[in-house]
Amino acid sequence: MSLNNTSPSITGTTDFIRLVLNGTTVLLESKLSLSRLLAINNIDAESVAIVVNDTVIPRSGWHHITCQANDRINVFSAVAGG
Amino acid sequence: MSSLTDKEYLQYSRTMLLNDIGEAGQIAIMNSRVAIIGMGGLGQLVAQYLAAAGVKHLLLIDNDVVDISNLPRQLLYSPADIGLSKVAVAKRALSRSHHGIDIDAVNIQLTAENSRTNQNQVTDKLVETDVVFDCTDNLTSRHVINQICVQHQLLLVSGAISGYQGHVFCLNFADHTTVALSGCYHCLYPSETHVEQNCAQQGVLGPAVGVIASMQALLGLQHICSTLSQYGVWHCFNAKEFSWQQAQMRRDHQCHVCQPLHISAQSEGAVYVTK
Repeated sequence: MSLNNTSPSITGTTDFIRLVLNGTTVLLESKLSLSRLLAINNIDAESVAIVVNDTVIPRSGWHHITCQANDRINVFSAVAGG
Repeated sequence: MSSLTDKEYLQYSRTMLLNDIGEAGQIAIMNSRVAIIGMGGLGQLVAQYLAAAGVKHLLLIDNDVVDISNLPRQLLYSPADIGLSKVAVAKRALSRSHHGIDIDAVNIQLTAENSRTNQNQVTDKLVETDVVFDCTDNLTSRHVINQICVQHQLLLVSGAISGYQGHVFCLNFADHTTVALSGCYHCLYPSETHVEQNCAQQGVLGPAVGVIASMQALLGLQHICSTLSQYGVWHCFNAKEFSWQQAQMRRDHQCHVCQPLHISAQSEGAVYVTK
């Protein structure tokens, strides 16, 4: 999955935080929810799992859990092959 | 079985040299009962590892037949087996290599559409097992297996791989406190989850499948030997970068599948932890 375009559009009054997304340090809008993080990266929320700081975050929390400065966030594609 | 023969001492000596396994662990392995659901790339290797380790009672479940495209990674099967039932071929091959092994080969698929009949057929068998290995190739079957394991408080070792990404974890639904923390497969991938591509579309390298299958066998054997501490840890393998990542699984407080076990854990004094 590509997560290269992680920088949201910058406005004059927006605060930004730095965190590590899939191993790459990125600058993101503060108070960004995990759902929004997926949306701005064009990632289908129903086909991934998210790990924040080595803990899986269940999907039901993605709308209200926000990215924090220095978070380590990994987005994994769901796989079911055997 | 409560003791080993001289031949068995020789055969399993390397396993028993591990101090925390020893003879007691080997006897536990030989007395164990396991189920392997899905006898494709993952399942056929898990079965070989467990049989070689000394597991005597295997329940193999799959309705697929051997296809020529399976052969590069499904090493239990040969060109002569093409078109034959995987569980039947596996039973024959494993029985030939491992004296005294007892294999129950069940030729069905566990899916939501036919699951009621098939669940009834296999649930009685699954509840007798110490470990259930989910080696299937689709989300529907994985959810059905998860539900059975939760309902009957079984030990689930789940492995999956597609492309260069592999995942594996072990959940013990008999331990309600752990379930209250780590949840179940549905907490990780809710019902509406869909995979972008499967092995047939995305491709996969045989040895990468082997890595995940080996991890499944390792988790299962260590559970049987009571040496496992990695319950509720999600192991993610990147076969392109040769890297692993681990994450603690978390129960989804909205998950209806493992809710009964969560309630049970609360009554036992467990504290639900969430971010």
